[in-house]
Amino acid sequence: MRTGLNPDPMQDYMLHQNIELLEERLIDTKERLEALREEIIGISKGRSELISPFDRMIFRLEKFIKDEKNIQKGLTDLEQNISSLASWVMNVSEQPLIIDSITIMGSAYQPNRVTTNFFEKIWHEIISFFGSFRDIGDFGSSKEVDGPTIEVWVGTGRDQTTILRQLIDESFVTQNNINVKLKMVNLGVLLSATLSGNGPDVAIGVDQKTPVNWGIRGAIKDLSEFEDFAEVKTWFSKSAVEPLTFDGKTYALPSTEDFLIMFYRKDILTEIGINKIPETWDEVVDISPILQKRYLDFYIPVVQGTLNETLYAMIKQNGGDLYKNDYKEIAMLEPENIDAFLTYTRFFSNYGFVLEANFLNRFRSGEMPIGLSYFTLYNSLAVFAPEIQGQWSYALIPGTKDENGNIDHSTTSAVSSSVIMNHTKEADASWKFLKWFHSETVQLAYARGIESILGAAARYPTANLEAFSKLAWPATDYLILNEQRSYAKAIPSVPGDYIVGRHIDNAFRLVLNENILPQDSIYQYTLVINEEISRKRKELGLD
Amino acid sequence: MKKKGQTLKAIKKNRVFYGMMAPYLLIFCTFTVLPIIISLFLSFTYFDIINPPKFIGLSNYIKLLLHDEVFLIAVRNTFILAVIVGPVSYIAAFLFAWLINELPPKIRWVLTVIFYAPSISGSAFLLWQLIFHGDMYGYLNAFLLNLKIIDNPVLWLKTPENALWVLIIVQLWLSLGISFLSFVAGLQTVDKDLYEAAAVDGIRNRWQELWYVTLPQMRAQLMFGALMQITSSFSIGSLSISLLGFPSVEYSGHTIITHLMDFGAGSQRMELGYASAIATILFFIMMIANIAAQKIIRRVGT
Repeated sequence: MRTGLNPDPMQDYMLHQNIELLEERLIDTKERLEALREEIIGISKGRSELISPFDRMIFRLEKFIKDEKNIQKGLTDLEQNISSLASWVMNVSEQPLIIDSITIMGSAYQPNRVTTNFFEKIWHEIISFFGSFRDIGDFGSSKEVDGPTIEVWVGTGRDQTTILRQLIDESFVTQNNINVKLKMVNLGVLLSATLSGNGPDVAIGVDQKTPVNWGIRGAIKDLSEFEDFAEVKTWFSKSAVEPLTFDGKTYALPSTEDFLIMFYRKDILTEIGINKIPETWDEVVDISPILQKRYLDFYIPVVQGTLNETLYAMIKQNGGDLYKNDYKEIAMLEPENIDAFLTYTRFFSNYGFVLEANFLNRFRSGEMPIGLSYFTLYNSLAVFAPEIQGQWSYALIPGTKDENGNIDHSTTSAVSSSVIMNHTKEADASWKFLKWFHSETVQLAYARGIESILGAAARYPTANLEAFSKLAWPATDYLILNEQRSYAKAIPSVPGDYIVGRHIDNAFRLVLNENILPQDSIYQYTLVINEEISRKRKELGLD
Repeated sequence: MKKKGQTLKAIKKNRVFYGMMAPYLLIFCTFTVLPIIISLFLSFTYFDIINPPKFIGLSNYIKLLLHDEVFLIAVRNTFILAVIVGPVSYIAAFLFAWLINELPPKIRWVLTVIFYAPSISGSAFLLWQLIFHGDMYGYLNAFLLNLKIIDNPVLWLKTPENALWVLIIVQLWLSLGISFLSFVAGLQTVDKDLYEAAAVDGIRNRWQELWYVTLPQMRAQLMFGALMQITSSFSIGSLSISLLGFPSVEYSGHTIITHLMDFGAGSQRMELGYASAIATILFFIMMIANIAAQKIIRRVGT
């Protein structure tokens, strides 16, 4: 931490005096790496790609030993080399042993040739080239029963679809006497397919806003019509169902639920003297000079053109609501919301927080030792950044204190969902399928299946609460996630809401770019937003 | 009646040619002419894709031209882009083609590929995203920070005063496209004898040669190039979306095409009738611009 990650190449940091035994440590590390490198060459019988991270690291260290100045010049490189060594460790320890076949034979028997010659290789390539033209979006079933058939479209990946197919064949088909045609489709075509009458009965992996947006126009079935809906609803947290509901009608079931939490690097924060993780936004402001003095930053995600999750969390923490008057108007001019907007803009206009950054990379390098993100970042960190394993953790997002001193840690959640199309002829069968897919056992099997194929990076953030609790979370992690989930608040979906995020972001940018008062800016845009919402409501015949 | 009879007769006489044209005409009508007619019809309706269109007369147009402030921003941006990018890239394409034409064939070939590369390389313009990235690690920011010209990273793509300029620069880079190729081809078809004849007739310098001989000889290519350039500079849209995001900050890079996409099929607004009205207006703007360009090019060499 003497130089920061981007040292000045000209400055003399006097590293030899300031760091104990710098040269000895460098030489020792280098020698150990060289010994390891020799050992690997000995085992693998020759130089291969396996030793290239070692080569690069040794080269770097040699330069460091030669001249102290090289250290400040090559620090970024060193950091990258450390990461590649770390992923080397991961790769090597996970290297699978693949056995094609085992042959048992007598001593006189000549074993079959196992290598391929040139022509065999060409033939194989030709076959696989033509094989690539086959339609593989269709996941045919091995089972068929005498009963209704529903078509299900999945918008996620191939592995997910394969697992789903297995689960369907194992339990759903025979238990319910319903055939399922499963297809992997880019859900961007869902609307045009439905329009032309080729749409599915059920679609899985639909985003958060589509169900309500299409539902109020009559393209998606209202699930609350089904008798046992009230019971099914209790499988999920309230915040997961809310964005799929409008005017008392719920148009989808939530499949996954994700929400903001705060990630932090224990090692770096302790080193720079931050021993208490900030619990409120005021405390975030308090630590920011300590961070910035060392060219470190606190990360608040900002996505252009959408309602900022952090801002929404602040509004909720202040006890405000985004809409008022039965969703007919936006409530940004209420005192709580103005306060939240002021706090939020102040981070960027007064305290110089970074607007654009790759948090994952900077968290890993240590430039952003603390910041907010959706909790699925947990998965990426676990796999992508092995070198900081055990040095990071997460906590509830900073909250707002009320008069009694209680801290409200409300966070913003986002869901993906599954819907039944309105034109379906097999509404009951589709509903059965939806219930089956979102039930605890199936979600659990599905999540475990994905994790077993794709590894920890693909841990499935299921919205089913029971299933979530049974996933392989470390106990402390689970407790924090669960506590944060109890604070989760959903952004409601209402007609015309596309304009809300867009213009609140515009209001925010106006403050930063033109230096005008946040109050003026938000006032101006609130008028525009309200006009658009009331126009949209009129258009849909709601007013 | 007599006239109609004659037309029929003429068709019958040339039926072989009609037969040869039929496959293309069929495809052209189904996938180009028909959609245009449907879109024209939809522009008079309210249509959300899911429910059948409702006829609402001219109200889409009234709203678009009289009440939609964002559309005005879009028109303004589109015209700025078209007025700067269109002529500049047109002239640049011609100048480059002319210069290249003077070079020996092998070098000419290499340079043609180099100049044409940006427009065939598909999404290579995403490189500009990296250059103009608002992070301190964006190339331009890192460069300027190193030179100590700026002391904080500039959000090039997210500040209204910079966004449009970025768009213009990248579009210029992209635009040495098909018209450049047609100019290169056109310059090579000019009859060499004409230059000799012109010299005898008293042409004094290269500029006169260019104006009185070369340009009139390649009027067809000039026309084609102008049409392509006008169409492409009026239909800048996806570039704005991939560089500046959608919608761009305070609509700073909003063009007629992005405005159309905002209302079109994949959007959350789902107002296809309105989007069709925008498309119709854009169609007329382009038509007027093309007629104007034709008029100008007819005067070349006179």
